[in-house]
Order: sequence, then structure tokens, then C-alpha cells
Amino acid sequence: MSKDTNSYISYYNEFKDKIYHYFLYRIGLDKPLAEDLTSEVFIKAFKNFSSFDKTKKFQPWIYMIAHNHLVNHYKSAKQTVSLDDVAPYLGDSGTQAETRYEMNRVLRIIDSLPESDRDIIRFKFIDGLASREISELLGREEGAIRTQLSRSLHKLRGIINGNSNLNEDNL
Amino acid sequence: MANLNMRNLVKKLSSLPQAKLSRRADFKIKFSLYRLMFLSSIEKMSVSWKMIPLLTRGLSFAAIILLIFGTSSVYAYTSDTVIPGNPLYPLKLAVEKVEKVTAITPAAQVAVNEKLSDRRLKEAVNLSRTKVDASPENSEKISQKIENSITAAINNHQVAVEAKNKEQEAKNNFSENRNNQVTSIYVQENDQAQTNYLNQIKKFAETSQDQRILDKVDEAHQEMNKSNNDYELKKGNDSSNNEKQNNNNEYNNFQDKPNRKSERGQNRISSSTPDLSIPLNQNLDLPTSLNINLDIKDKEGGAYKENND
Repeated sequence: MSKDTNSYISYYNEFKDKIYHYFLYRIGLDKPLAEDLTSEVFIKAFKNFSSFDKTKKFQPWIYMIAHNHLVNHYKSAKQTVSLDDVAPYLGDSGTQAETRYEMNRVLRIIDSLPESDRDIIRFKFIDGLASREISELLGREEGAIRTQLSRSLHKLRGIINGNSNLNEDNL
Repeated sequence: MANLNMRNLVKKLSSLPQAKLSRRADFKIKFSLYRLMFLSSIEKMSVSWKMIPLLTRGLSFAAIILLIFGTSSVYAYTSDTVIPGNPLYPLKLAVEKVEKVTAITPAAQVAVNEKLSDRRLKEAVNLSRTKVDASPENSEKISQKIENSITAAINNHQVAVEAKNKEQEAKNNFSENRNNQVTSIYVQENDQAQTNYLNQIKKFAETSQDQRILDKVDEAHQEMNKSNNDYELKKGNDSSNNEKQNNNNEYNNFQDKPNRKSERGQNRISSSTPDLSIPLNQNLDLPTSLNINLDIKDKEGGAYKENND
């Protein structure tokens, strides 16, 4: 096996769970669908691996592919995100049913945010990426990402506290 | 939303469970990736293979086969460790067969067959060594192989002796041939080597108390000695015959030359040639006789010239 394919497998082993996680929290925690999308992303990435600049980091590149793939998926399937079955996946973070319910609501609210706010919050809190990694991924300055994140959180806080124009009943 | 204030909102979001790809899904993805990798490597190979012209491809293939076959053959032919039972042994025999066929002259046949006889005995020595540590079942098989090797050595030796006889005949026809002398020296050395090998085999057989092999070694000694003795006897007879033949030839030369001269000068010279016939059983002093002959020739030549002038 060539050096390229070996390195690709090691990249796969490093990022498979992150990409799966990325999809899972963006498609309503649909595990089989998240698995399918993860598989498609890694196959697509392998086919284009020759175009990957080896001097750069793999993470922004694979997230970019995953993001584009998700956009295409939404476009083709016109799927509405359902978070009805979110509760079982939140069992580890909250012991009480009320807390789980609140988290469900928060995720719904995040999902309803404008795309720029939604993405940055997801990258930061759901995918666990650092500001620097998000800046690499989105191709923006790290300072700008921090500012954007602060604003998005403020917006989220506003919605949660009922000061937003967004109507939660429609979420 | 009272419980989910902003203080713990970030904490709660950050502590969302980390999803992990299931093993089944992981296996499926990896399988797809490896399949793709394999297909792409095949595609690359087929593209590069197609780029090579057909003739070059054929030649490359033939060269690889020849290289493998050639190196195996050379190893099999030169190595003494390739003994009966070794996978390369048939290859060794095949090369030897070619060598036998290409040996055309008696001298070459003697050299090849003595070499092969020598080689069979070497193999028998090596087989005897392996027999020391062999199990009783294998020991029997090895004994059979040793016997076969000794038989093959005897046969080769006999063929070599026959070739030597031919060579001797050729030697009689052409009184002097340096190659024959060289071959004879080679054969004598080879006989000594073969005797040494047979003694080694005998020692091993005595150690393992293998009467079959001991009998076979004795048989080999007898057969080889018999062949050698027959050859020496024939050589002795041929030598005496050859000596007589040489004497006759010299005598005939001696007798023919004046006659030819006399025939040449028959029409010109009326004088008869002197009667120089000598009985065969009489000791000839050939150089003197030849001088006499030459003297006569000179005289006749001179007479012819004088008359001619």
C-alpha cells in the first residue's frame, strides 16, 4: 500500500468520530443517516485526497467536505431536522428529565438561529473545536471568530430568556 | 428555562455526549475505503502496464522466467547439496543430460562421464551423512538412494571407459594428440577421487552397519577396477599393435619411396632400382634405412637431372 493511502487511513481513524458527531447533531440525531453521511464524506475525501495540500491541516479540509456534503444533503432531501429523539442521547449530561428537556429546547433554538450563528455555536460547543480551528475551517481571523461567537451566544441567551424576536413556539 | 441559565448553558452545551461511530459502521466504511484503494491501485497498474509495448512486455516476462529458471539451474548444477530428494535435483539431472548430449568427441565424453560419476559418488557421500541422523523409515529410503547413486556412478564410469577406448582408437589413428594425454591424466586423477569417495561411503556404511551399501561399494570397486583393467589391457594390446603398425608404416614408406622415384624415372632411366626388401621380423634401424633411402633418392635424382640435362 502506498504512503498516501496509509496516511489517509490514519486520518480516517483520527477524524471518524468527529465527523460522525458533526453529522449526528445536525440531522436530528439520526444515527443510521449520520453513519451514511460519514461514510460518504470519507469516500469523497479519499477520491479527492490527491488535491489535498499535505502541508496544511487535515481537519479544516475534512470539515469543509462534511459541511458541503451536509448542505447538499439538505438540498436534495429537503429534510426537516427533528430533534424528537434527542433525549436518549443526553442521558449522560443530565440526570433529571427536566434538564434533558431543556437541552432539547436549547438544541432546537440553536437549530433555528441564522446560519452564521448556528454554525459557530455548533462548531464551538457541539464539535468542541477551538476558536483557532474554527477560524481555519471558516477561513476567518481568530479574533473575528471570538467576536462572532460572543454575539451568537448573546443572541442565544436572548432567545432563551424570551427577549428575542424568534418565536419559540414555531421551533 | 429557569434551570438553564446562561451560566451553565455553555457548560451544558460543552458536555453534550460525544458520539462515537459504531464498530459495524466503522468496519463498513473501512471496507469501502480499502476496496477503493485496491481498485485505484489496480487501475494505476493497468494503465502503466498498457503503456509498455506488447513486445517489451513479452520480453520482460521471458527475461523474468529465464532469470528464475537460469539461477535455479545454475544453483542446482553447481551445488553438491542438491542431492536426490531435493526439489531442484530433477533440474540438475536435466542440465547434466544436456551436457552429455553436447559432449561429441571421445575426449569430451570421457571428461563429462567421469565428472558425473564423480558427482554421483559425492552425492552418495552426502546422502550417507544425512542417513546418520535419519529415522529408521527414512534410513531405508536413503539407503536406496545411495545404492542408486553408486549404480549411476558405475554406469557413468563404464561409459567413460568405453569413450576412452574410442579415444585410444583415435590415438592409434593419429599417432600423437596432446588432448588425449591431458584426458588420460585427468582420468587417472578422477579414479583416485572416486576411490576416496567410495571409501568414505564405506566408512559411513560400516558405522551404520548397512550391509547393502557395503556390498554395493564392493561391487563398485570391482566394476570400476574391471573396467580400468580391461582398458589397460586393450591399451597394452593396441600399443604393441600400434608399434607393429608403425613399423609397417615406416617399412612401407621405406619401400614405397624408391618405387615412386623409379616410376617417375622409368621412361628416362634404364638402370633398375636396387632390391632393398627386408624381412619384417628383422630389427630395423629406421633412421639409417631412411638415410639410405634418401641417399638413393639423391643419387637417382641427380642421375635423372644429369640425363635430363
